[in-house]
Amino acid sequence: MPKTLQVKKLSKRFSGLQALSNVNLQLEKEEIMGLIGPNGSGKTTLINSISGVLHPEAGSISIGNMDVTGWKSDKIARLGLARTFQTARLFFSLTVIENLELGIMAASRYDVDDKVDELLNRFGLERWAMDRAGTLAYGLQRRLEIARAVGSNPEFLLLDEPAAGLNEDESENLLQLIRGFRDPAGLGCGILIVEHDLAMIMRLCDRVHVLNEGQTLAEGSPEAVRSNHAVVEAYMGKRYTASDHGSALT
Amino acid sequence: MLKNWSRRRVTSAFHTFWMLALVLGIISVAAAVIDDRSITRLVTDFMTLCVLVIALQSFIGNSGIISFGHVAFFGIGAYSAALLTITPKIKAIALPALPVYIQQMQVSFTVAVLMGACLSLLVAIITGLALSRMAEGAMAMATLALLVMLHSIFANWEQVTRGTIGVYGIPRNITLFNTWICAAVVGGAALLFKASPTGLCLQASRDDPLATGTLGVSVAKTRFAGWVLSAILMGAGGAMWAQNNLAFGPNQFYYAETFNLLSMLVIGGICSVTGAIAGVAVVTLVGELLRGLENGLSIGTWVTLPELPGIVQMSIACLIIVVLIIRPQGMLGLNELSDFVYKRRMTKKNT
Repeated sequence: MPKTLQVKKLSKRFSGLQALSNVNLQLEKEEIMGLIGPNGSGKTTLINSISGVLHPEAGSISIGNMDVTGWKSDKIARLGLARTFQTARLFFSLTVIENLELGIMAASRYDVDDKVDELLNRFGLERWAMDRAGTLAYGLQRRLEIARAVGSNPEFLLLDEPAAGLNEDESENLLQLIRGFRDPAGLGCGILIVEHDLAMIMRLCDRVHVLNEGQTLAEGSPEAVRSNHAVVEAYMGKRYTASDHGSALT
Repeated sequence: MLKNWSRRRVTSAFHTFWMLALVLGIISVAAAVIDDRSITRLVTDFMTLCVLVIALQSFIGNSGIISFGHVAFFGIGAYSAALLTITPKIKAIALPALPVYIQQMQVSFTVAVLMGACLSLLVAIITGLALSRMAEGAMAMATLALLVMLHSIFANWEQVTRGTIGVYGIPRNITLFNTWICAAVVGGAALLFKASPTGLCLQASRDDPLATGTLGVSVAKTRFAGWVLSAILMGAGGAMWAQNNLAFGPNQFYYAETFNLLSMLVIGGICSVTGAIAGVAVVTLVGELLRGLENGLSIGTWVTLPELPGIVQMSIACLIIVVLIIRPQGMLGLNELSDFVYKRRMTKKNT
């Protein structure tokens, strides 16, 4: 049976703020799920909770048959979960090659030098191989962070706003890359992607999960979510009319 | 597990190793050829300091956590070497309360260095289990507490350390050859650790511990490994130092020595083994050049400079500030000796 990433009734509170409340989510392998919602809706908190960076107050997270609720991030990562951050968190004093090596080591099943060469080639980073990550342009840093995350051949990949700060061409390249990760011939992993570029989400994702004020607002195919009245209202406000739904979320 | 070892990093470390070993070897041979007592002493002091600063670098440089406590391991190595190398005759007079089997023991230079390293290893395991779980700032403060704790033991455990009076009668087992071997071996060990998967993970945690964790790396375990390795090297360095200095007291393993070693590391470059050696060289040279001024200086019959006590320490402190302003990562920055050659070769290959 293929592995599933399952989140059940997850709740997280920061002092007086309920960041997540009873969120349920299921991500299969070879599936791309978009996670959208207005600013402050709890998207990053959900990704942080799944990856073990934050610990939820209630609910459970499981990968396959393993309940990983409350586990530390390194233990969860060793189970086959990789992630990127909203702003690239690279090891800036290390070279591009060393950043990639760190991603590969988690898997412990590849010859690190061979796999580095493969990743450099696949992500077009050969020219900058010996440069320190801190000296790269922003677009390259984002690309390197994604390359580092997929280095361990994860079963589930969480991408937090991977297209933020990228130009149109770079976003298009990124979209093709992410599609490649999902394909069984590529990585065959399940991908949860947080993104504000809704057009990209609608083109890329098999399913979309919408959060608002820490709660699930809707979940379904991109088409169903696009025409969901509550979703449009959350994004555009109550005065927005039903006839404008299509253009609002594309 | 060898799959995780990068051939690039190991090759680069090996290149740096042989170049550094060669430079240190040339210095030793030059001193042997000159055959002057004060020069020989200067070179053995230099090699011993290289071992101590490289040991410090292997933790601070890779983890990014400042340790004020490593001098405690230096002291452990020095006291263990003293107790194991002083002749039974002197021990019977100076340390009558020692257990008989230690009193009658007298070992060689190599065994003393190894025993110093082993004893430091034991203390590092016990302390590291607690310290490695702490956050960066807390760990730095805890190392300071460790220094104070160990200093109290050195100063008050009179049956073993003779308290504040200190120990004497340690045979001078140091030679130009064995200090060179020790400096090269410790440098090689530090470079190999830096090139190892654990060393790389520790360097990643220096930049971003949170992101390191999300890559499947246990930051606490990695810091523990770095702590233990550097303590082993520091203990070995302490044992070498004791056999070079012949007599010492507990105050030689306290704040002044901590400042001295840290200043060399900061000036040379915290993140680089080559930098550690360069820092020792610069501070040793500055010290030697200015030491004459401390006792006053006469140039001919006309110019007489008065005594300037403390000028060496003050100049080194100024040098640290200047380096931190001009080049915060120290003279060598993040680079090792081989990086200049290796990087150029890689870039050429990829363009």
